[in-house]
Amino acid sequence: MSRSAHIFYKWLGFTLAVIVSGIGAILGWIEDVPLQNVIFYTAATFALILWGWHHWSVRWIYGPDAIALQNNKEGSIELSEGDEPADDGSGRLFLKNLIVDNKAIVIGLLLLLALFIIVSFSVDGFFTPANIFSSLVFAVFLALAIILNKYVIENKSAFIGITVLIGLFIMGSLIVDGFFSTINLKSMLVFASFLGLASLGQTLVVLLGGLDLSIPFVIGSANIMLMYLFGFDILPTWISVIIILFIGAAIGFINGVLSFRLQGQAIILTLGVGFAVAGGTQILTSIGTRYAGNVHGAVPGWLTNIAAMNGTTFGLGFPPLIVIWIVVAVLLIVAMRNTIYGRNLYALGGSRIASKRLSISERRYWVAVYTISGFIAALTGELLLGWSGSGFIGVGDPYLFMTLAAVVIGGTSLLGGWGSYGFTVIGVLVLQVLTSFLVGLGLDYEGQQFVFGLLIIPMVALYARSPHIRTQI
Amino acid sequence: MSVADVRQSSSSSNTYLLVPILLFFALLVIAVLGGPSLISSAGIGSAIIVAAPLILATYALTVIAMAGRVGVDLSIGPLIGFLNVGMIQLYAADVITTPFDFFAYAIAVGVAYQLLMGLIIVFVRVQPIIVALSGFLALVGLNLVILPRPGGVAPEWLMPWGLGETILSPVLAILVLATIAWYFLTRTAFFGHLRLMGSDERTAFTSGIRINIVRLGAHVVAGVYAALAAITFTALISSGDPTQGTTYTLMAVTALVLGGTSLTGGRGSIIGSLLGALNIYLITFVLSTFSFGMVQSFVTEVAYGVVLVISLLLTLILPRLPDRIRGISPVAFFVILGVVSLGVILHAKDDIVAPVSAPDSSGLTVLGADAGSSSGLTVLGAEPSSDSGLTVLGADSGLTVLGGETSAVGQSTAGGTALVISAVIIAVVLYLLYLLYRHVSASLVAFIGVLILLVLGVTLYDRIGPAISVKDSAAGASVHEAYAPPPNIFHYEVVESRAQTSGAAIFGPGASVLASPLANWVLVIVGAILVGTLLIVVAVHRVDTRIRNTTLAFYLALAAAVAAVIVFAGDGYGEFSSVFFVEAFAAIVVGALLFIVTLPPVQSRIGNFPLVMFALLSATALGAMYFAGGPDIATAIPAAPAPSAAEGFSGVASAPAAPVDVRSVIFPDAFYVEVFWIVLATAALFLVSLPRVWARVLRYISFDKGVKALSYTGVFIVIFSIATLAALFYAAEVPLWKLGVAVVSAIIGARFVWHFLRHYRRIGAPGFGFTGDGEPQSVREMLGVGR
Repeated sequence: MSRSAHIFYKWLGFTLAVIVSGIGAILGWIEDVPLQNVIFYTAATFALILWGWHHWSVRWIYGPDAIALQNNKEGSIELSEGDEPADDGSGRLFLKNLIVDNKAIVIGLLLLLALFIIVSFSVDGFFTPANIFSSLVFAVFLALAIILNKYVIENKSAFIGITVLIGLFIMGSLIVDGFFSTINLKSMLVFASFLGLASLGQTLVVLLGGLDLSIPFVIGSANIMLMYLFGFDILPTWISVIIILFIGAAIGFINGVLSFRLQGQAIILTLGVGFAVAGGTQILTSIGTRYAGNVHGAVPGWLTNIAAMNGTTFGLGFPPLIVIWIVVAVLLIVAMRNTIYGRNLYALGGSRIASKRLSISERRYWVAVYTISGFIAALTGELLLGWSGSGFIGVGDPYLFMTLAAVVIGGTSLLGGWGSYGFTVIGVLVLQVLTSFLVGLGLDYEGQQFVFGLLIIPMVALYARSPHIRTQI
Repeated sequence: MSVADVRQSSSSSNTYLLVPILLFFALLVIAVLGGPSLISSAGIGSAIIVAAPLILATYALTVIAMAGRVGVDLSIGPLIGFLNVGMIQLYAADVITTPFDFFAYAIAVGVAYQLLMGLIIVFVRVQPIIVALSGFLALVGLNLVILPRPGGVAPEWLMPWGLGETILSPVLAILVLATIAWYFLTRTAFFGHLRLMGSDERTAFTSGIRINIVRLGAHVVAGVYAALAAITFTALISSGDPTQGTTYTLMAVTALVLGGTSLTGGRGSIIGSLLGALNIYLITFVLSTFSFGMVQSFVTEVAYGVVLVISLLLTLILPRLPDRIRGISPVAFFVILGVVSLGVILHAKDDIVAPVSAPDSSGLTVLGADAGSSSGLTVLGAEPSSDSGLTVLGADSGLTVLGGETSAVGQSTAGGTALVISAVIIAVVLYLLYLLYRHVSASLVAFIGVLILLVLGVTLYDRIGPAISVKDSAAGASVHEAYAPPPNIFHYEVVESRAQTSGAAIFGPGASVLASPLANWVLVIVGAILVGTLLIVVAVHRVDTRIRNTTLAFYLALAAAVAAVIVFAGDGYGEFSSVFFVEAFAAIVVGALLFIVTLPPVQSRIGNFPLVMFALLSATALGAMYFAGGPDIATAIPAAPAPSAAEGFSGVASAPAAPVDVRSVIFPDAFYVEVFWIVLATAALFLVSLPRVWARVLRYISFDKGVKALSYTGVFIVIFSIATLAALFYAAEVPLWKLGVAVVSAIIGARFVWHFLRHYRRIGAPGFGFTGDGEPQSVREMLGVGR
């Protein structure tokens, strides 16, 4: 693609960043958020969008040539654009071509407009400024996404995820009252942190081609076991937390060892281990009490502060949980890309045989990812205890399929070897924003699940279709 | 797909059936001991109705899992719930009312849903697990929208289905039809294509199979089964429930894995799935018989998890076992374990010991013993609990010990019988497993045939119930006031007392005269054959020392077990005897007898040794017929028509004078009889060790054509064994027509049993019928002629 497109997208991204961070700043100012918070968030949003836009747009436009572009600066572009006749280096001409080249989309948009007009005339009360505006934004966004989609070659899933995320954000902000308030954003981030942490282990396991369904059970067990240990009052609370973490890691280790030779059926095996763990924990905590499966006690303040909605991080008005998640995510993403362990993990997921030739121990990595998964699941359970303040075995249940859904929507391949935790983060955010959006629309939990179920197939179908059998021979 | 998966899916599916079969019978035994109410018309009926939705859901999963691509349909549970709430709501709206409507609706919607999933998998080309996941989430939500909370009523005609009071119910019909339908499905080309596609989709594609059609077909079949599951589920709960159906997902997946179906595709069997689902039901049942109080549900959860993990690990271990064990036929395995557990069921049902306390202790014992049995097969030889019976060898026969040890009363707790019986059964099972592992051959075929007949004999036997004893005491004619239901024909003391009070009316005029000496004779003959065989095995040279030791060990264990049974059960009739004791004792003795009789031919290096045993066996059969049953019964039976006929015991029926048994005059003591038989056996041995003699005879009975000759030889072994046993039961007053039915069915069945078991020797050790290369021997080689 040409340099004109490059310029077009560059300025588009800049404009977008200004608009988004501007909206954020204005909203923060309106809602009487402390000034330093507004400045902090605005700067962070602006920088993140610019960075992400630069990073992704270069890749989207040039695909595999992106690295060559970055290395050779202008040189290789001249080579690749060769026979572009009408390129005078300006963005305006490109836009014109864009419309001409995408007649179908333009017609589609016009049809949407027609539909909108018909609905406006037939349904009373539909023709309100808010609806007009939201429809307009939605249409523009849709067109933009479809056009951009043509240029995306790598990381299509991330593109689609981000597109849906932004689209949902726009729609939510316009339709749902209070969607774009700081309190809602904060609560979304808190819930996303839980889901993100729970999905971390799942992502790693999936990268190797396995699945870990014991996560929700470990979460629930860690939740009530920690409360159980708190109830004893003989250990310092932080030691209890560490003990539970190690137990979680041990369960993950067992998962890994047992399922190593049963990789095709790891999904069922981990489910069985999860059953045993959850049941065993409940039996243990029920001994000597009159409340079967219920544990009562007091959660220490520092744990509550970490996870609860009104926690503070060095005086800033968000719980440290969010920071923990972001730090973990960034560390993991960087480590997966840049360390030998991360690369080996991808190698193993891609081809067992090739990895064996490279002397990469499959068993070691398989067991390690399950151990990490168990560890993180226990951590999530503990943080959930801090959030809720009371132990409950069923606290992990929603995570049974949600972690899987987050991984799948993010675009990590269930066959292993392709994906990243970054993708999962996108998937988590999509799910969370969608949940928030649906709640705002007044749907209950069942309705949300229904929508999730219907959403997954189209999302996956967009980027994770298997090749036809005749191409696999 | 990793290397391990390829290895798993490539091996025979039969091996994987062993685990569910073993688990099924273990659970069944524990369940029956813990809650005997399971084995009753209402118990089985409710078991059927409760297990039916799970079984059918597992069927549905099986066919999809076989299609490959790790296609576990997680949405099966919500689908059942969806069909359920749809049915209830449509019935409430009077849209569907008749059974036809219900079935049409369920099948149409179930198939439509599964077809939709199949189309998405085939044409959108998304991984099946993702499709199943989204279907799960969507349906769970949808169910609650259709029916927010449990409620509604099922139609009138569906209500009785869910009561589960009788065994024969429409639900059972649905189950049977579904299973038969699967059987016919396996006969089609579609099924072959399905298996091929499941194990290797690319090969299937290149072979010209239209894999899209096959995959869609698998989903359609699954939809039908899911619909049937939904109907039985509706019958079970008789209302609508949006959430209950969801629990079937995890249960059905567990059952699927328990049944040995590979999640990676290509391997799966309906029998395995059926057993897996039944196992899940039995686990729940067993756990409910223990009282865990408030942690009950948690214990169930743990049990699910642990069973799931262990059965998965077992499927991992099985392909790595030696070839021998992989050759074990599931049919043989099933038959053996089935016989054993049937014995336990009979015991648990009819044991009059102490129905309250006995099951608890014995149930726990079985558990403990089962756990310990994995450590090895040494339990067998040891049998340490019964020290008193170990002197059998020194004595002349096991039967003498039976009488002699009666006074040596051991522990006399109520659960004693159950405990001992359990121990014996476990020992026998272990030994059988050991034998299956070591060598599987004609002798085992014979043994299994005998066991089949034994079961038939036990079940067909006319029970002389408590009513009779009441009548006796009312008439004042009974010698044994406390003597309760079981007709202890094999019980030495009864035999003795009958022999002493020969002529006194116990069961009615005429019958008693007949019964006591006959039973005595039977016992004597059995003891003689045991001793004779033992002598031959131990004394004849060229018998492998290992075989000799094994025989001795088995003999010791058997005798010890028998003695222990006598000690515990022979003390007082009213308190300690049980029906199981009598018949299982007979079964053990006779089964072991015939087993030992047929054991030496298998491992002996003597070429024509089988024929020795043939001769002995057939001579025994004939002798038993003549001496024990023979003319006496022929004259006596018209007089005392059938033991169950009430007139026979009320003393009203006129009876002729008892015939005088002249043979008891000739052979007054058991010792002489034994000597006689031993001499006879030796003579027979001498006779048949002349190969030329028997080569001619065998030419007539076998068809002298390679494998065919061999297979017919096996059949003849079975038939001979059965004939012997028939004689014994004939002597024990089993009515002739029942015996005829049993023998005919056993003879017909023997051919099939042999057919099923025939492939053992191909991988077994060289021995009777086969050379070391696994090729069948010719008859000439078998006879040792021309070497």
